[in-house]
Amino acid sequence: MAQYGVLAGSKDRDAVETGEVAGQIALTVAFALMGASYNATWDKDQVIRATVTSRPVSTSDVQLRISFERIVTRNNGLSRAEDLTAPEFSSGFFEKVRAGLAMGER
Amino acid sequence: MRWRVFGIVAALALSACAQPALQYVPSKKSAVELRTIQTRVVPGDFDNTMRSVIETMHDLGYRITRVAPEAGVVSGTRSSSLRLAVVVQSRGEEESAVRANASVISQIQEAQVDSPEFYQRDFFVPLGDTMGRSLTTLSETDDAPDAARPVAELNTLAEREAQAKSNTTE
Repeated sequence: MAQYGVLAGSKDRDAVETGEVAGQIALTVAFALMGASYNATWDKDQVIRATVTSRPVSTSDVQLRISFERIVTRNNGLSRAEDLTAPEFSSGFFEKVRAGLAMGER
Repeated sequence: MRWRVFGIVAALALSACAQPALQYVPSKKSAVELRTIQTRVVPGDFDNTMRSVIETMHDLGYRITRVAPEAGVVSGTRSSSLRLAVVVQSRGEEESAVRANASVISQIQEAQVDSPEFYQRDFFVPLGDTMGRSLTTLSETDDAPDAARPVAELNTLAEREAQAKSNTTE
């Protein structure tokens, strides 16, 4: 993928929150006692994905772009994606790139 | 009573964990019509066009899931329900054919997108803007790349394990 200036990376995180699971189970039991059914669902897995693209803008400069998304999968298999747009994500990334480049120059 | 509640909870938990396999629903449009909708000729060499396709998909909010340079295929996912695969094919030194193929994911199926507006407005116009060039439609007699099926994004450990298992059995 790097040949065309793109890199993708991901990191898994457990998304299960005890409070949400307990609440959903409590609702299921309450509905069952009333003779009704309730489909208990909760966040199960999440993966943070980063996509980096680059484009040469001159013989010595490259333009870098990074985006972060979080994909949360619920226990019923359905998933949702959320953009992570907090500046800390991208500024943290570019700080590391800057530090890496500085180390390379030494 | 306790066993009744337990039984209901267990049944619900099991049904909540079941993940039906997605059924692929191809477009009902003719192959020629679909080819015209999905393909444009780009005034750019293969490498520059590949870079521009990737950049455009990133700008449009796609996560790049796979790049196969030898096949000229780029695949991406937007949000969690839209997948797009783009094939770039060289047509001489200064021209390339670009074919986009999108599908929308629902709980039970993956449906091929065949709306001309979607491909024009949501991919080819932004691609032309990225390249700073005008894109043209393919004539009916011209060869076009085959459409590629978008690659599914694997977001859970179970999905990745299932994929690894199917790769080893192939």
